Amino acid sequence: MTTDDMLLEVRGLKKHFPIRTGLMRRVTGMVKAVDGINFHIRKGETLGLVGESGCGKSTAGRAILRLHEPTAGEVIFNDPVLGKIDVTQADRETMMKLRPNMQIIFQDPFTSLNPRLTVGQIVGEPLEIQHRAKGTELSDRVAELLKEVGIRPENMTRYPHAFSGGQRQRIGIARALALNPSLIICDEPVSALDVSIQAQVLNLLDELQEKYGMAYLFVGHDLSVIEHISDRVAVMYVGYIVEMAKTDKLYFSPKHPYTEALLNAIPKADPRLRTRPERLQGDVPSPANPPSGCYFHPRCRYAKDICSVERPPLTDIGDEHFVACHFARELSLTGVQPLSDIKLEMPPARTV
Amino acid sequence: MTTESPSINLTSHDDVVRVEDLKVSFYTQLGVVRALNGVSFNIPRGRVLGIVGESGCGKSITGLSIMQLVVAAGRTEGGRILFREDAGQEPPVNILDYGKNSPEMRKIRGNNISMIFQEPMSSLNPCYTVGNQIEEAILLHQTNDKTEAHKRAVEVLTKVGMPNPSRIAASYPHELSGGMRQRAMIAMALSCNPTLLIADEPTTALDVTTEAQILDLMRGLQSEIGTSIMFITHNMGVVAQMCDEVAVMYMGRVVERATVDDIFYEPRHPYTISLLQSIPRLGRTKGRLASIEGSVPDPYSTTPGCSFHPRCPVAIKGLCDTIIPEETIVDAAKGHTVRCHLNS
Amino acid sequence: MAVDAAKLPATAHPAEDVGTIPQWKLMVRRFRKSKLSVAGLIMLIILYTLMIFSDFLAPYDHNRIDSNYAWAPPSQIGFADGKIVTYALKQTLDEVRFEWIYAPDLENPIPVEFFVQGYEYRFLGIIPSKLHLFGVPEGSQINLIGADKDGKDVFSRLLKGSQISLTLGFVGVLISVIIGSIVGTASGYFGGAIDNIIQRLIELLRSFPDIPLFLGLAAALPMGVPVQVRFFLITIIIAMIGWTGLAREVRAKVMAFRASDYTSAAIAAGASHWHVITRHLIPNAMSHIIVVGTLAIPGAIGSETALSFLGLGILPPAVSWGVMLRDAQTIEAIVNYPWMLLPVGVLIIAVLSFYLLGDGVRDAVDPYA
Ligand SMILES: Nc1ncnc2c1ncn2[C@@H]1O[C@H](COP(=O)(O)OP(=O)(O)OP(=O)(O)O)[C@@H](O)[C@H]1O
Ligand SMILES: Nc1ncnc2c1ncn2[C@@H]1O[C@H](COP(=O)(O)OP(=O)(O)OP(=O)(O)O)[C@@H](O)[C@H]1O
Ligand code: SF4
Ligand SMILES: [Mg+2]
Ligand SMILES: [Mg+2]
Repeated sequence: MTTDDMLLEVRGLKKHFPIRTGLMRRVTGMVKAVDGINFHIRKGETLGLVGESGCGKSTAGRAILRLHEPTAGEVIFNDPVLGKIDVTQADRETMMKLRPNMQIIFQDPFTSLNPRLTVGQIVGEPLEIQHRAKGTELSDRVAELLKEVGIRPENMTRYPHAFSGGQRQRIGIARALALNPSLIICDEPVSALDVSIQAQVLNLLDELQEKYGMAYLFVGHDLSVIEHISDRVAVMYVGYIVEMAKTDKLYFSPKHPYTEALLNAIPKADPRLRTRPERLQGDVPSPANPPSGCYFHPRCRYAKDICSVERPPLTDIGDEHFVACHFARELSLTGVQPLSDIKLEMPPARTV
Repeated sequence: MTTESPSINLTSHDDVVRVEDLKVSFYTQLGVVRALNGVSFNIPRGRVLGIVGESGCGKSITGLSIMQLVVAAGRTEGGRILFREDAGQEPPVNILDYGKNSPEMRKIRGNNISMIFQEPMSSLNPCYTVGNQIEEAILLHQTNDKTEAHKRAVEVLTKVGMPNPSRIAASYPHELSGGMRQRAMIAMALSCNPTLLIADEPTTALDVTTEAQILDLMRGLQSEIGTSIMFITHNMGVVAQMCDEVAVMYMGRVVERATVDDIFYEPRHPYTISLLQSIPRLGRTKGRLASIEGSVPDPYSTTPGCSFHPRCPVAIKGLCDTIIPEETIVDAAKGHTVRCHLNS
Repeated sequence: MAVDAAKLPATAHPAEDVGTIPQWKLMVRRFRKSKLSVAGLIMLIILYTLMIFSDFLAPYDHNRIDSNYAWAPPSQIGFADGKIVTYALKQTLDEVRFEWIYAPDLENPIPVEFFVQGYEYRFLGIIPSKLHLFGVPEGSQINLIGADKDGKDVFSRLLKGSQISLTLGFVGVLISVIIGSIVGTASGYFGGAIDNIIQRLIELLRSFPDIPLFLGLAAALPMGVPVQVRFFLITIIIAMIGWTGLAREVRAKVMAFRASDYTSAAIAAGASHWHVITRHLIPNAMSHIIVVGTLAIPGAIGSETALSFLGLGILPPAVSWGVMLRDAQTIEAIVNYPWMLLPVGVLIIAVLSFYLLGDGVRDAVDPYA
């Protein structure tokens, strides 16, 4: 494992939101949205970040970009010009230089584009901010970007309200692409889209990655989508990464009980595969008031005494398989079965 | 436009509800939305019928039409909704013959057909405890005895797997988690032993693990009580796990109707096929997904011919873009029908 | 490429490309759909036009006293010899109540003349002029809607009064909109300690009951200053009290826009505070500011009227609707000289029109709220 191809290393990243109450807005508690996560992304690869609602996926993505100021931890980014830099410590000027290399795509296609700007202005904005282009050069570049994502450049003068969800998502991708980033944080880019449109956007992201070689941190909650797009996957539970491994490993031989439960819960798109495995009971704990020890222990089938006392660290159990469970090496857990490969053929085309 | 429905006895089952050529339009400031363009399907007694399709294709309006709960702007412009409370009841009642607020309709809503929604908060009253609301429903339609109603409310909460039913009965909706609220909704819907339960994306807002719990629960209750369920969803995985039969909708029409096995293994309509090809399959698809070109159609536009033809990879020029395909029978025994020129 | 760009459906409405219409134009369209609001707007345009031309339209100076016409009723208008005429008044003294009793002298028509020379005024405060729309010859008087206890022409006073009544509230709200927007934007955008201090200050200001605060401030104003100064000071009082509510609304909006994904995208691209505020926050908040401002004007107009009515706002010899109402506060006046209450009617029309307009603007800006 050489470190040169390392693009992003996140170490002990924390983001706590204060809970304020009362007239004097005193801090009475902390929402530990992200509570000490570690992971890395190599150049050109896709790391899937999956977990249930509220587990801190979006917060983690935003903290990396300092859209939320991190509470603690390091985010080492390997900038093509500046080299390795801790983003959390960078000053204004350094940040300005780093930003173009790390961009973000959002979940909601209806709120992620400013309704008052035309599509051209939206996609051109990053170029303007970074003083990369002006005038006709700017509009040429915008046209190029729009073509790249499958939007006709004539649409430059139109406003976002004239586009469907999928098209808006493409516009958001064009905006993120404008500065040629080496990392794009994709915060659930397909979750709000219809299935048929979802596939288009996933394909587009795939193609752009092949062409430009940027890395993705792909945040999602649909395990089938994550499996499809990711090279490696990290599973988050209440602000903590509990397992991270190559996609196939994580899906077919998970080592963390939560991952197992999550995989078992996927509704398999095959009516002949109707299993009723043991379901996870109870609810996800609140990040403002997490349980002691391993956050998963109250719901874990395999929990022992130590689990309620000590929080297991994320450890490498070999071959880049990281697990945060006291019994990672002992448990034998079941992963998913691959779905049967149904060959579906379109009926042959005909003429009248 | 077809007004004929396929021969009545496609399946050996007796149908709880048979929707025939239902048409609903919305007249809005921006234009007319033809939400339902002649929807026909049947819900066999004691089975789970899945309704799938993209956003805006008319799934919810179909469900709401059966309940006669479509908002006033939506006008029913044709069709019949035949309902049989008991097997073999003749003649069936046409729900559309009743006024929206008629006593007959209210009786049907209270006793025979219940509906649960995606966002349980929208149908639970935040000012009353969960127990109160279930008791209310029971008192309205089943018994006049308050203690009896309370007993039944706790019973039904137990049935939906609430860990501590009497405590839950005393809590207000906002004190419950999303999954718990959905359970409470199901409990409320089941409290009057409905003949048909319409579930409109009951798990879409939930996390996978909670979704799995709720689906298990619904399946379990279904096989135990034998309620017929109309299950609206857009998730093919949920369809595969939950449903016995499936109706695939596209732009206000049912384009394919088959058993769940046939939908996944023998789909006939190009839309169904594309839909299945475009979802990532666990452990199978790497690389490109087959995707459906174009975008979800604009609700105000009308498409001549087959409404799917602009996005259909095998559309027949001169036919698909002019003539609306009839509903054709693929397999009469299994009740497999499709609306596509390639199959007629 | 996932989808060939050429294959994408062109536009939903081929007849008109709605997509290229900027949002504000769509708002104008939505606004036009609301008949009542358009009526409110038209009414306001009429009122403000009348206000601008008030000196031209008024036959007399608002302070012209003529005790012969004390409490004169509205002049009767008629036709004679193809001309519009009014009639002189026959006065008889009611010996018991010691009051003039008037009756039109129908034998004695007085022609109404148009575009006559009268008292001198400055149009729009600049151009000196003596031209008036109408008038009657020296020696008689025309009081379209009667006269007050000193024989001052109520019609002229009503017009003149609109100059203060319709502008003071407007200017007051304008100032509070400016203060409120700046403070609200700063508070919502920067958050933290700044926000905390501003919010506590606003809470403090708002915790005073409005009316005593108004009265206290107004009572503290110096009495012997020119009208302009007093106008200015009262405007400031209205603004001081009005800005807090506006600042809160702007703050809430700015916070929402600041948290929005498009703002995040701009920050992620390296945008400065200035860029974010001017490109994303202000343009989006603007429509809400306009709505809140419009809906605040009627309140401000009412405040001026109330203060003047209580003798704490605009003081005679200046005239505003509130000052006029002060003259109409006795039961006697209301019963015997109902025309003295006309300012109330005009006030209600103005206030109602602003509300109708504000409602329409709000629905146009935010059709789903
Ligand atoms: N600005 C904020 N202030 C306070 N709490 C916050 C803030 N943003 C997020 N949180 C809390 O942090 C936790 C993690 O939120 P986050 O949005 O990162 O979750 P997520 O994993 O992205 O969930 P989802 O799948 O719903 O998007 C949640 O409990 C949330 O309530
Ligand atoms: N109140 C309404 N006014 C106007 N049009 C409406 C209204 N309700 C629904 N529609 C239209 O009717 C069509 C069908 O709506 P419906 O809610 O049934 O879709 P759906 O299939 O349930 O979609 P989703 O998956 O998003 O819930 C849509 O095109 C929608 O725009
Ligand atoms: S009828 Fe034609 S257009 Fe419609 S689905 Fe079949 S093939 Fe496609
Ligand atoms: Mg999120
Ligand atoms: Mg729906």
